[in-house]
Amino acid sequence: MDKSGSAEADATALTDRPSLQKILEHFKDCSDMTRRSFSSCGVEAVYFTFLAGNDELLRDLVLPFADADPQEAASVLYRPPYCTVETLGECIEGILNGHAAIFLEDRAWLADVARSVGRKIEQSETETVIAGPHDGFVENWTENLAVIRRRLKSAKLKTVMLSVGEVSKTKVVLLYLDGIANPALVDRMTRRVESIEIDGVYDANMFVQLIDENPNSVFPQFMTTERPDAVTSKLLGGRIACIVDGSPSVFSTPTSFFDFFASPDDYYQRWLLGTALRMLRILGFLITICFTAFYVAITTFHYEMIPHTMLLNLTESRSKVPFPPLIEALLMETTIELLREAGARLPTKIGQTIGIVGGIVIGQAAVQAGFTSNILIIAVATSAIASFVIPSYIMSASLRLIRFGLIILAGILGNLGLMMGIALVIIQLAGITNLGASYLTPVAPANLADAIDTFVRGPFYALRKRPSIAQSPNPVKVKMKK
Amino acid sequence: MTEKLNVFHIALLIYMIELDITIFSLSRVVAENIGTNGWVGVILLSAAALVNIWMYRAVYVVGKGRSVHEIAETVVPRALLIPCYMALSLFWIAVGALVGKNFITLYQMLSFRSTSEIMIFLFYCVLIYCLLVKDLYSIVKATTVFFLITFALNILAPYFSRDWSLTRFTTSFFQGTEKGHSLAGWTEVFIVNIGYELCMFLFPYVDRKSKLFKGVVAGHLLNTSVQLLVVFIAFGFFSFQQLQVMEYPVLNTLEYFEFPFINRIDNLIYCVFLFPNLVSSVMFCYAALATMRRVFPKAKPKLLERGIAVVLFGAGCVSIALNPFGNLLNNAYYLETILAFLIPALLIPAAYRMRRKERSAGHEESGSG
Amino acid sequence: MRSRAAGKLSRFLALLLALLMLMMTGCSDQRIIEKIGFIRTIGLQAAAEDEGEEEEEENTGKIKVTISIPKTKEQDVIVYSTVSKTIRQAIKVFDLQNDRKIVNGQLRQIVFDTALSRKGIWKYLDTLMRDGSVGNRVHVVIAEGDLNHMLSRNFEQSGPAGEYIDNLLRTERRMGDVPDSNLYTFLRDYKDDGIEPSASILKETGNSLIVNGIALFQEDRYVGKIDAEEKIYFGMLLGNIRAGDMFLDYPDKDFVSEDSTLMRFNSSRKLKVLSVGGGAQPPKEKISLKLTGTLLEYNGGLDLESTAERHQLEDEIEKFVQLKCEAVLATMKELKSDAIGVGQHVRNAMPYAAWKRLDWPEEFARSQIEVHVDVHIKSFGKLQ
Repeated sequence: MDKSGSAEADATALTDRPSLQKILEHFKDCSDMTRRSFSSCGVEAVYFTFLAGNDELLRDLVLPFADADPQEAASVLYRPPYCTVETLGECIEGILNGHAAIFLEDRAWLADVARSVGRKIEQSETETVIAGPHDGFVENWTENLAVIRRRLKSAKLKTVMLSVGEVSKTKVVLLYLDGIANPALVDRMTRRVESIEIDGVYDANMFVQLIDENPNSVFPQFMTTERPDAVTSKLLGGRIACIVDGSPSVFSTPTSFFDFFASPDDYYQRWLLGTALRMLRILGFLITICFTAFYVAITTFHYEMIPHTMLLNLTESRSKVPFPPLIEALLMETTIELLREAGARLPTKIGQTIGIVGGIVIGQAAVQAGFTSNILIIAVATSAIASFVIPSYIMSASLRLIRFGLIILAGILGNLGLMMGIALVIIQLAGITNLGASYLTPVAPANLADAIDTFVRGPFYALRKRPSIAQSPNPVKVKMKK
Repeated sequence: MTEKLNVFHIALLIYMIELDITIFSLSRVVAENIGTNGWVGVILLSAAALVNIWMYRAVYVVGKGRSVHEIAETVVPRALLIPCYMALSLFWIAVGALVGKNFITLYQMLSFRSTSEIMIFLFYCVLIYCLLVKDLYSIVKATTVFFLITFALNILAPYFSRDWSLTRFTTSFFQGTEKGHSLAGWTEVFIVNIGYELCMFLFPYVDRKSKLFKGVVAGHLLNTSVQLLVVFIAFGFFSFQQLQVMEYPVLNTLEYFEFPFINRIDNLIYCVFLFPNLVSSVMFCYAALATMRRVFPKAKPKLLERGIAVVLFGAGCVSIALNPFGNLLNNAYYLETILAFLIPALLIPAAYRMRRKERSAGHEESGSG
Repeated sequence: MRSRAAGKLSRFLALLLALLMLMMTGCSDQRIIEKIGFIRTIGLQAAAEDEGEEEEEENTGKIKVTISIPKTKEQDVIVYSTVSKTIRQAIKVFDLQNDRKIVNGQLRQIVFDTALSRKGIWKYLDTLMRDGSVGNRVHVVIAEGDLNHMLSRNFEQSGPAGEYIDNLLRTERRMGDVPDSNLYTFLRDYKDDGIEPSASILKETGNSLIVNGIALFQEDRYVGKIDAEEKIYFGMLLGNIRAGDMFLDYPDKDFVSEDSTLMRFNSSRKLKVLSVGGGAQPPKEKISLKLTGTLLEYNGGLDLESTAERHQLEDEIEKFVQLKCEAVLATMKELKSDAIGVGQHVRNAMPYAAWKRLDWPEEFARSQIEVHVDVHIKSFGKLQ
């Protein structure tokens, strides 16, 4: 990993045999490091105070060595959980991961005394479901890996351990199912992760931006989720999942645009209901990007499209508004975004207050004060609500941004502007690839079998194949006859 | 990427290239030039286009899937070809520009009457450029989505059934034309098919599995059926003499829609037709791009695309300045029709020549070896 | 890498520049809804000889244009009126008076008075058809009486005349006995050589407007009308009626029944050309009507409980409808106005060239049209 000249000197030293002196030298000025000497047996132990747990220390250090003589200590050290280390580098890495380095005479061992840190597994805040499993990923990668392993009890579930970040050394685990995932894609993904050169990675949503193929696109290109059941289904679909340590989001690849509109609980409902929900989300998608823009287009340019009865009401409510529709709509959209952002930053209880205040202020006062028209309020509120129908928070944020672009275009060129905006979005989408796969699968390249599992949620007997986007060598997933 | 276009996408692409602004006036043009029951003429002309497609197939088969440029270059000296390439490229860019310009000037009949066409056209060119810098696969992918949106509009057709009457079709055939039947008149109807000839630039992107010509024929037939639908609706919805006086019958049919929540969707739906026009324009530009690549094989990436976008904009401006009302597009399409038949007629013998050359070269090789 | 970034930047800037330029240019075409006055109704009258601002000026050939623009409050309208040569000229005059830009994208009806419509209305409709912002669902209406008064009145039913006419015609049309007369149908039938256009006639009464018959045209000239009581029979002859109501008031002499009402009946028309005529032979056509409905009102000598007498009643209705239809046809033939499209069928029964030689209005006037009516009563209501 280290590439710079000064680090190279360290790199040669890292292959040396470990010794207490070298370790102390390496970690000098780390005041949270503890050195513990057991005088009765000559054992020296070094570990980071706050990474270690009291119980673990007691079990693996204090009890075995406190009153032991050197021979006894040596015999203990050749049993598990102690393992010998041969190089300084290994030893340093172990200490950084919360292990205790144990030195006796000129030999060194590592013992895992790390205490489990972080929160317990609990429900994901951003992706909640009514029916279905309620556990969500946590920040600790081992826990996340364990959750997935518990769901996929198969030796075919392979993991590739990588680490990213020259300083942070963040653990990145690629998971795939051997024989179902396409090995070429796994290779490609591994190489891409290895090619990252950055000081640190803090979250999976950040990590994916380092490896995506179209960094300037507004769309997220990797599907991140906090739900283990979603990841399991992706893995079984032949995709590659990836855990980034320190992040409760796990991402999977290759991803298509439409994956962001599917939620795991579509599969827990009856298929007709699941299908209705998928349709609803697509409707929500259209409303959220077009509705306000359409309002702006017709009130600014295309009055002839409004039915007469509606026109009079609309004109009356607009007649007190001092701004043109474009400015009016942008103002209201910005206000809604402010509200949403404020709600996200505040604790839940205050967030509710914000909601009430915002609702009253925007819903009532703004109209009465002649600040906006009430039809615009309906349009803005509907598109805001529609944006929350989209299961992926990241995608819904992107769509909200696109909405602003479309509103501006509609305010300039009316319906034509709106269509040009949509054309731009489609052109943009068409250009995106993810691990070489088209972002628009299953529309382009068209694939009927995938479409049944994308725009509708077909009954399980119809979903016989894994998604084509994963290019799985073993495409059949349901063998049951109808 | 090694992926090849598949038959489905080829069909959609051809459909979308053929579909352009001419469909809006098709019913009138048919009524003027073919006369009563002109839909029969539409079928005949579609068959003529099929013959032309068959000629391209011959080029493909005889040339063993080589690109048309390669075929031409093995027979004709490069020095002679370059001016041809340049001229053709310019012409195709001009066609692309005219499609866009006509789309915009027609839109200005509906709204934005005083906005400068050049400004709107500039935006159109930006869209074309955004598509053109991507590879053909991305163009095809975008086309698929455009197709789905455009094709969905056909569900509006049953709306007309109330005022549609078979009686207005009349029982006579090909009567009541404005100036009698002429080749020029029938060609004016034929140009609605123009676009399929661009399949010759797809040769490098297909293999045996792609079934290129199945796709081209399917796309062409799909387009013909949409033309027939349009003509059928118009001939039963309008009276024959009325059709002849309406500039863009499709717009008039769209004006007729009235829903409780929205009226006059002609404007909105016309704007959706931005997509097929965009595809037509971009594919003509793509034809120019593919040809210019042969002239400047070492050009920097994106340089040619940029050049084409600039020429496109220039051509649009010139056509707006020269003749804001006249139908330059029709004239361009006449020329394109001639080219559509001429190019394969020249290429088939060239491909045979190439084959013979290769075979003799092969013999020499095997003889010496 | 840097040059690519620079390229991206320049692309972005170019896009921004284009946006800015577009933003400036789009403004002139803005039609922000509260800043425009949209014409709801245009009324056209032949200008009276003594009207107009300058008395000296010749008023013949000029028209009096009245427009009504709804205000934002639903019950209010602004009515402008002036004498001018064309609609456009008048709108220019109104534009000078109105505080908002006058546009005609929301035009719903154009009303002609009888005097002007007798001279021909095509040139006025042509002006509107050319305008891309005018839709083709604009009602074409003929008004009897004082047009100005009608348009400036507020009615109890739905306020201003414009709104009222629109709603009234829509409701009537849904039953099918009034032909759909809008710009689209008018142009269609005006241009078609086998049919003449028709339009609804409106008349003012004490507190409402009434559909007072169907206007018949020769080309674009109003030549006569079908009376209100007979418009249902015109509707049957023209095409299919869905859920119509018909009151039958039998004349005494040949009928047993006194009166009856056929409710929610459907009718279908079949037109067959028996002979296209030629020379001294008049063309012969046969119109078959089929009526199915519910009988809800009956006074007369028939006992509706017996099946035989029910059939007799059906026969009586058939006879009555036939008489009425023949009367309607006679009116149309007298006016030489083929508003029900017999000519289309005759045209389809003969060669194109022969049709072109034919003077259809004359042929129509002398053609023999048989009417066959077939009535089927589905039910007689809830009482026996």
